[in-house]
Amino acid sequence: MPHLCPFSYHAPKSLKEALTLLKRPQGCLLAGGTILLNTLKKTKKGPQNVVGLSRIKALGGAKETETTLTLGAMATIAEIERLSAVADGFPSLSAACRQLATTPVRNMATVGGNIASRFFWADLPAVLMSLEARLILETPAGRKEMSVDTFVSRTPSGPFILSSIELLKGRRAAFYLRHTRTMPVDIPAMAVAFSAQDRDGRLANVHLVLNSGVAVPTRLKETQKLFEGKAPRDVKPADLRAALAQDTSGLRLDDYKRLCLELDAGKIIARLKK
Amino acid sequence: MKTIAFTLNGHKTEVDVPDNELLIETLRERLGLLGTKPGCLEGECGACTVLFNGKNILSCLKLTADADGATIMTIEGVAENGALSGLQQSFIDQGAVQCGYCTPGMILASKALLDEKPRPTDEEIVRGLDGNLCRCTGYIKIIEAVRAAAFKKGP
Amino acid sequence: MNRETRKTTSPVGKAVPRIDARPKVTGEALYVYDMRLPGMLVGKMLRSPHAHAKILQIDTSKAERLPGVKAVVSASDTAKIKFGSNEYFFPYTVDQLPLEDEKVRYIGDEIGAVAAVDEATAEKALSLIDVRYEVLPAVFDPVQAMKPGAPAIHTSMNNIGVMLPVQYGDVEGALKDSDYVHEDVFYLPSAAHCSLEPHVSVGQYGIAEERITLWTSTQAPFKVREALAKTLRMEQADIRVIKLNVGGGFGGKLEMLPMDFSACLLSKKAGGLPVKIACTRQEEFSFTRRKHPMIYKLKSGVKKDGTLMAITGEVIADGGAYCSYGPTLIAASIMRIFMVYKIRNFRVFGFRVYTNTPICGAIRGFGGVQSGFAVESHMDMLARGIGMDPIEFRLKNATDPDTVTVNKLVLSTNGLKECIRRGAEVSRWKEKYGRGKQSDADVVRGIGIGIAADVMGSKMYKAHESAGTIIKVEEDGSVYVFTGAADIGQGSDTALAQIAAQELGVAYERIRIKAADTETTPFDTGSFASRVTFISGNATKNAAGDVKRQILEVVAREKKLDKEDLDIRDEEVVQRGDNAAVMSFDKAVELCYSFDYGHLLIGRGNYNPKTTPIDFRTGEGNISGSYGFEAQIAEVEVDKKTGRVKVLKVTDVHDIGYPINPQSVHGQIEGSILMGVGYTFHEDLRLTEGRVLNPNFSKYRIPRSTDKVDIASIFVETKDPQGPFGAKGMGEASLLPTAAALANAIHDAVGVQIKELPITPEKILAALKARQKE
Repeated sequence: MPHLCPFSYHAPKSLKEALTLLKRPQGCLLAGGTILLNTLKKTKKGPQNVVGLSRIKALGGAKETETTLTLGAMATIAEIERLSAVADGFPSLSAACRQLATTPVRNMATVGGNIASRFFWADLPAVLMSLEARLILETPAGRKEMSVDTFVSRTPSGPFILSSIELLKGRRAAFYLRHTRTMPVDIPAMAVAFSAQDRDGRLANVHLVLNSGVAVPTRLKETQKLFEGKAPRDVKPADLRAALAQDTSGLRLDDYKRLCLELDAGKIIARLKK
Repeated sequence: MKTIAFTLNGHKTEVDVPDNELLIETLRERLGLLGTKPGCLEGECGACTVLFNGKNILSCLKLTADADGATIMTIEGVAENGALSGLQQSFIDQGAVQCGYCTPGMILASKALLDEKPRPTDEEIVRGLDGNLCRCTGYIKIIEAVRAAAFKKGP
Repeated sequence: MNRETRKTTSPVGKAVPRIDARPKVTGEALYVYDMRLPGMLVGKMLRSPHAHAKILQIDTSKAERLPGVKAVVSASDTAKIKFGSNEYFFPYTVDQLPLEDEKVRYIGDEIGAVAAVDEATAEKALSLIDVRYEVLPAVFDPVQAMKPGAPAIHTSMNNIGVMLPVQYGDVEGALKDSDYVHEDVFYLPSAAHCSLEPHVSVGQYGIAEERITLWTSTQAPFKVREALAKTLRMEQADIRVIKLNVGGGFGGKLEMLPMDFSACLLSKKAGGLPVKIACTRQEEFSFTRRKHPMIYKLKSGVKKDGTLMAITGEVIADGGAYCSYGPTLIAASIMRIFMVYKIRNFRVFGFRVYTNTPICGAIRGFGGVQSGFAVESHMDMLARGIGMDPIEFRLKNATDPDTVTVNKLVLSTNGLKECIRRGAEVSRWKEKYGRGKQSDADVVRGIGIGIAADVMGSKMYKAHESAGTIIKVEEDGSVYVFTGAADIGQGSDTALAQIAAQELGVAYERIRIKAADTETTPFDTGSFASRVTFISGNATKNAAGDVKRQILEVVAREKKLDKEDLDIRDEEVVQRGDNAAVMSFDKAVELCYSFDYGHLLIGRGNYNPKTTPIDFRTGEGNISGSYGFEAQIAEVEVDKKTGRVKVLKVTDVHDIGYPINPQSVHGQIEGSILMGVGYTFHEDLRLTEGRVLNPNFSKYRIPRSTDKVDIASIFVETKDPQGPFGAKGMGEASLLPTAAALANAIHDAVGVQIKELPITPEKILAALKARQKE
């Protein structure tokens, strides 16, 4: 029978309880289960204590204010996809959720799990970086806040639970362009997340993040600088190619990924021109 | 071990399970409901699909211990008092059943879709079934079956 | 089931619901994977971790002592008798032991098995079996394996399991006379069946009678029984193989596997407790069967007017560690071409080579997918070489009805040319072909064709290929059809029920099918080579005719009529001619069983197609009772910037003789085409050093609903005189031309011909770049 290695499962009802349980030997968190449970099938010796987050009400749903949208870490991909506040205000996040995995996986997988999985190919970190999202973490020492950039570059030390993701509202153009090796439901081979605001016909507050599949999401800083303050039609293709080359020089991108990136940048400009 | 209580196919059910037991194991081995099929046990094929609070999920990626209080439906719960649902009948009528191993999962995924979107576009049907593999049919008659079930009710 | 609610008489040709659909939609249908028996043990196979090694010693003693372990077996528990799948024509290819004794030849090769009370104990027991190996150098590539000095896997020279020279006519002369000669090499990768139900066997040894019962997910229960009897050294009569519902086969469940054998042997050693051995999905990908990768070299000549003069070539098929269906597969792969093209000068050598990799066996298409891609791509290139439209080229060279080919295949009904013409018409070929060249756009469309033919059974297994059917009509009018045919989802039970009902003159809903139990149903070789409708269908028709005759004899006597004047139609005994009703079917049956007559109604029929076995020295022989034909036209859209291909539509025009159940036939065609699309673009079972790299669905991608293709499936009805009600078979053919039709369509769009599958965006971009440089 049992396909999973043996462990003790805990279903705390509060974040405080969960954090206490996490201190137990070899503790880990269970969010949607779409990643963790597969991993546990392949190990003979796994964690001794699995702390499930599904009963913690504070982690679910979404809260909206005039200026912010806060997603609970346990909100599923399918739930986020359905939120009109996301579709209206953060269309790139909506697009990412729509294209990610398959229907049953979207019903189970959570935004928190996607971020905390630390898989290079995960869709949401790059998108959230481009939307300047703030992550709220609960730790035994209290609440911590950090950018997604900080979270993906280094795992926070000590036990923590990612509890919510905060997004700032504001009119912006936001795109998510995703490429797969074989079929649409695959993990992305490469993806590009873009967001920018409009200031008198010029781009402002430009964010361009690459999910290369082979490293943590990378902010394309030179390319961002190139776009900043310009009207879309004033971005020269040669400059764009140079900036992208510079931004990706340290990354192991194969020719096909480089091609896709170039084409994506062109697509973004075309969409902005409209 | 934990005592987990949930509503299964309309009936209140209680089981004692080890912490590390998957929902598919509980359904098949403990409760004798063999209609939920193991195809890959990795969440890729969808043959183990069940409805969990109305949404289609993969029972090979769900701990039974995490199902306390849920409303679960397996293929055995789709027919009502021995009468096939419109969806089940449509699968038969449209020739959507060949080897049948993917069929329980397909029907449940279709039911979840139609419960949320009673009159889905073809694109929505295709998307709703994207987690269920079929090697026999090429999906065409399955999609036709869902379409027929959705649109035959009323004008 | 309330029989009164529906009465479908004359069901042949109608889309009646599948006879087994209801239990499948309710979840009641039982598969061997679901089986539970009292005391059932969990069995597991011990497999070699080495690609090539000598077995120095196997010590099972520690495993046997582990509490909870009920039996452990290895070669020393067996009679060490080899088995194979091509025994009749290629006895020297019988090369596999159910549990290997001296050598292991691939990663996964079975050398032992355990049965224990639960899975964890069985796993532990496996780890306690001490095996000492002497690792040998291994070879993983067929070209390397054929070189002198390569590690010898079996005793055959240069690791060539089978060498098949197929030669006719004067190839050199014909090539000299040709106006255009073209040469190509095509590369075909391996693939996996991906049946949704993995392989699973439940074996039970009955101690009192010393008999075995095996339930197994199989396409060929009688083949399995034969192999079990041979390897267990038992009488076939003491072995019962039962098929339940099968969750897909596609050729992967066409033979006995060591797990079938081991389940039975373990049960015997465990004092008769039943033993279930089930493959995980990863084991399914890594250790069962897979498609033969092939290198297909072709060099052919044509005349300016399009006449095909000669075809020469070489096929190197990587067969993996043992022979399985290899020899007949390579023969089928090469010789399909004679069904499709008029060719009299031909020389192709086929090599089926051993490598230290998992075994390659039968998979839907049986070598015809590989040859289909190579030949149909090659034909397009020949056509282009002389500036001829590919459709015109096919029509010029396609076979005709009522002809005998150079290798003595007798093509009777043959709708190939009509299929081609209709396909061209429906797809509006003339408007579309060649437009890609004229377009400067980034995204261009193209159209391409592939043609194919298929057999209906093939005399490559035993001397006879018969099927038998028994029908009993009970006193209450219920009709039971006992057939050995194995329904694995393709709908054979349904088709046979329709045929029985049609011939007997009763409603389809009256029929109950009892199938594929070697003890209670007549012999049938199994579901392969698209044979069941044609061969088992005819047997069933004959049996129904037999029962009908018996009923009419009794009615004739009672009513003092001439039995030749009577028939049964629409559940009534009627008089031929004016259709006057004599009595209802139910009354007629009652009459048979009545005091005065007391005639139990049991009908029997068998059918052995009028075919001749192949003489493998000459390649001559009419292997099938009839042949099916098709033309498949694919339309694609190619993005020149990204190399991405979108399949717009596939039009399939198929000579199926006559459709017993049109819905079932369309269903088979649609499923086959999508399987073909999968193989063309993203299925690729990759190995390194003998290990499968992508043994799961996340890395071996089969098409999903989001990949479905728009298919127009059209029948051409040639009403075959040999087929039951004119029907031919249909199971594999639509898979054969798909890859080439798509590759040819891509060429029409962007001017590059991809000769290696899978066709990826990278390959298209690389080919476009290379062409630009020229």
